[in-house]
Amino acid sequence: MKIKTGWMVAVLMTCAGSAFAAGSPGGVSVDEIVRKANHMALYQGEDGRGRVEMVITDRQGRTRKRVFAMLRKDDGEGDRDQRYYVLFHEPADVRRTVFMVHKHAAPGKDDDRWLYLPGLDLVKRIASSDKRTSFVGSDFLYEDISGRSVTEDRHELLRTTDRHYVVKNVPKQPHTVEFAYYLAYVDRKSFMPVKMEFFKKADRLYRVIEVERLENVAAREKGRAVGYPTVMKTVAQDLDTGSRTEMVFSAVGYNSGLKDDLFSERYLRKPPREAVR
Amino acid sequence: MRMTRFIRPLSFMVAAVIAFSACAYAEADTDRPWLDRFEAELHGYGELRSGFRTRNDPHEKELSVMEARLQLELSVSDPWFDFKYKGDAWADGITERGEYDTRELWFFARPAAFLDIKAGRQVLTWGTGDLVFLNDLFPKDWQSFFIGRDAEYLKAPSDALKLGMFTEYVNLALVYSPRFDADRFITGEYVSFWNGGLNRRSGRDAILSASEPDRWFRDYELAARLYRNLGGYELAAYAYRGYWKTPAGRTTAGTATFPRLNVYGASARGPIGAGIGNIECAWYQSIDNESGRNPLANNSEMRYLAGYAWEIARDFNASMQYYVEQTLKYGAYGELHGGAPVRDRFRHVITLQLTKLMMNQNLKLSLSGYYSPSDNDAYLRPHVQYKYSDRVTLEAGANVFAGECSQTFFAQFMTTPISIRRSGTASERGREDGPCGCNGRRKEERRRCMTMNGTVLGRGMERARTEGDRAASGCTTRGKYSTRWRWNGEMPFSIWGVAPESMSWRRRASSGIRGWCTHWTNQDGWLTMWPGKPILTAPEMSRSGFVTLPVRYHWPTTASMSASCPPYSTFLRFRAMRGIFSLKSAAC
Repeated sequence: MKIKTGWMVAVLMTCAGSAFAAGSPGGVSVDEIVRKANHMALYQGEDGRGRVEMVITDRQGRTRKRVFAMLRKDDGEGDRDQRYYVLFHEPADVRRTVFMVHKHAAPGKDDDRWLYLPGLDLVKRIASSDKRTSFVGSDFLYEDISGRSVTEDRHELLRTTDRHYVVKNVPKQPHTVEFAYYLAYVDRKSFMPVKMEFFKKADRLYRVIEVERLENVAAREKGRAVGYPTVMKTVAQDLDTGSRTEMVFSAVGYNSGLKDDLFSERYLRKPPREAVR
Repeated sequence: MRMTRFIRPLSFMVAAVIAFSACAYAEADTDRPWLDRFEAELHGYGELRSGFRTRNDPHEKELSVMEARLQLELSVSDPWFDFKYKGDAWADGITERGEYDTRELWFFARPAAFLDIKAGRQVLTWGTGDLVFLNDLFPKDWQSFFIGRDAEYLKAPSDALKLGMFTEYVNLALVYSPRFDADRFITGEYVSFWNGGLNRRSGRDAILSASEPDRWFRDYELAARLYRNLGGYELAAYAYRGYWKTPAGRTTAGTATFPRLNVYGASARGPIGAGIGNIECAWYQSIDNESGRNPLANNSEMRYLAGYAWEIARDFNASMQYYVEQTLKYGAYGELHGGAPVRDRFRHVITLQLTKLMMNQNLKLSLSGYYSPSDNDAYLRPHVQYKYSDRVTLEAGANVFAGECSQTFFAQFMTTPISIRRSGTASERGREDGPCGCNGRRKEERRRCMTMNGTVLGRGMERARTEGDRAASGCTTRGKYSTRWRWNGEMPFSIWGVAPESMSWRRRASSGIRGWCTHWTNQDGWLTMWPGKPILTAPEMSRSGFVTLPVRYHWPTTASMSASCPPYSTFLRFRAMRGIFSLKSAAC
């Protein structure tokens, strides 16, 4: 199948960087690694879109499926604020439900979230103080989808392997999250975070997110052809509950000129064609 | 019948959109065959729902709801327009008829970058309230809400033309309904209520008929909303021209009517602290009774709402709202009613919604509560929903009404008349069978008492007063507080367990149901809950119609909860779904 362009939905929360860089083996500081990884996971291109299929399998093997279209647009330069638009196709009881987020990167500022319920034609505003809630019942959390803020963790480059930089991320406010720390494996070539391991206290691993398929897909940026390394399949596993969620991307596109007003109430009530298709 | 009602006007409204689309086709490329341009999707679900009353209502059937429903939804999309049809057909065990309702039938087009047009039958909602509507004057279906249909059915469709205009600074939505769409209000067919005309509760014995304004293009409604976002805050101004949505007046012959109404209002919503706050107000200008001296139409009102929603814990959300209705020209209104007005100047309502998601968000527990300190009545709506799979959903819930006086908004739906036989004073006992005067004389007395004692309504009050105080104050409210929260002198809640998975409904209903009763008393001014004798026994449940549910579905959960006091219905629901509708899923 020909993939015209690629877009990485921000599934891989990044271990984006702050200025707590430790050493700089190989000439790259942890700050630089984290900044680049954050960009790769969330901010490639000015906008992106794709279709996502999630299959949630519980410990007993029962599955549930979620299918949705996702649109993303960055607000200005500098990998900061973003807007997300999610239109559900499946399961049937939430079909045409829309979830919209205006993500604010500034510390302490909650994202703005809206939900549109088509049966009632109701635009609901959602309080969103806890971002570590499951996204649509899957093993991905809201923060896995829209990205964990770069300033919320302290970062340390643990080691550099043949293929990866391994970055340890320790939350600055441990009481706000359920993990003690997490390790991000950042691909040395593309700077794409390809694996995250979340640990509780006493180094107990309980949650893993891993990229299973990464494709370099073509796009156009300012008139010239570029390739964006894009995650096409990723898996989240909760080792405590035995539950596992596969997320597969298709129909990915970048820089298609999505307008700002697409992320407004107008399009909540009537989804844009970009999302319906 | 509803079908024919909207076809004629629709043809008018839809014509413009179709004409526009046709022109667009003429210009569009003709490489692809015309039919290939459409994308059509068909969806649907089947649903069985049954509900029963736990106390006998002399005016209603034992079952509160019993229906087998099929919903089909067809959407067609094309580069130039969208079309959607959604219709419900159901066999209704209460009316004993086959019923049909078109929920949606509309065309949508975006002819210019700044303009959206949607014409046809559609569901419309705006405003900031959570199940409280101030500036949203689009029709609601209270009947469905109170018998326990899905929340989706709270909104009834409008036959309307909606224009959306969008600019950089402000957006405008205009909704024109060529003929008035009333609420589907409580008529007594499914739920009995306080019938002011008869001065008693009535139900199927006297189904309310009202004379609706129904002339096309003359009895129109126009609603407008001007809105924009400022930072994270949503600001809006509203206007409406039309009619009271539920009967708010009567003719001299006594027929219920919908007097003319204009509404002007505003709202704001946005983040406050860790949650979302909202405020909204509306001025209801009752055109036919601006002076307050017309006994045949409601007075004008001011309505206010302030709310706050926040996340208490992970997957646990709460929202609280404070809502006030203020009757304007109250002095004139009081004079009309001989000094014993039916309404208060202010009606206060506090609402609370709690929603908890569990089991990977497949189990949803929610509770909606409404309490009016001024009417002294309440409405509780506990609800459990379990998504058995992506296609099958099970629900159980209850509607619980409570109150002091059967004329007030929520208490009027109580199945049994309110009795104060046990603890009322002689003067109160004398009134118990008639329309209680609680909103008039008794309320005045209470106010006087409260003022004299310098305390607020509620706990501690009884304790603060001795018998001697009561006598001295001249109040005749002794015993009131012990009856206030007594549902017919008995318990508000029962809980039952459900037998193992392999059993059918019938077996479970007759073997697994156990309940107990509690009751509230007022001791030392505190509300106290006492355990009591079992009140739900298997034979009673069998009689109540629970076991007639024609579903053999194995319910995997082992417990269910419902309230079982007098004045409400419970409902159970089974719903089958799949993405693309097929007979197989319907047969579930």
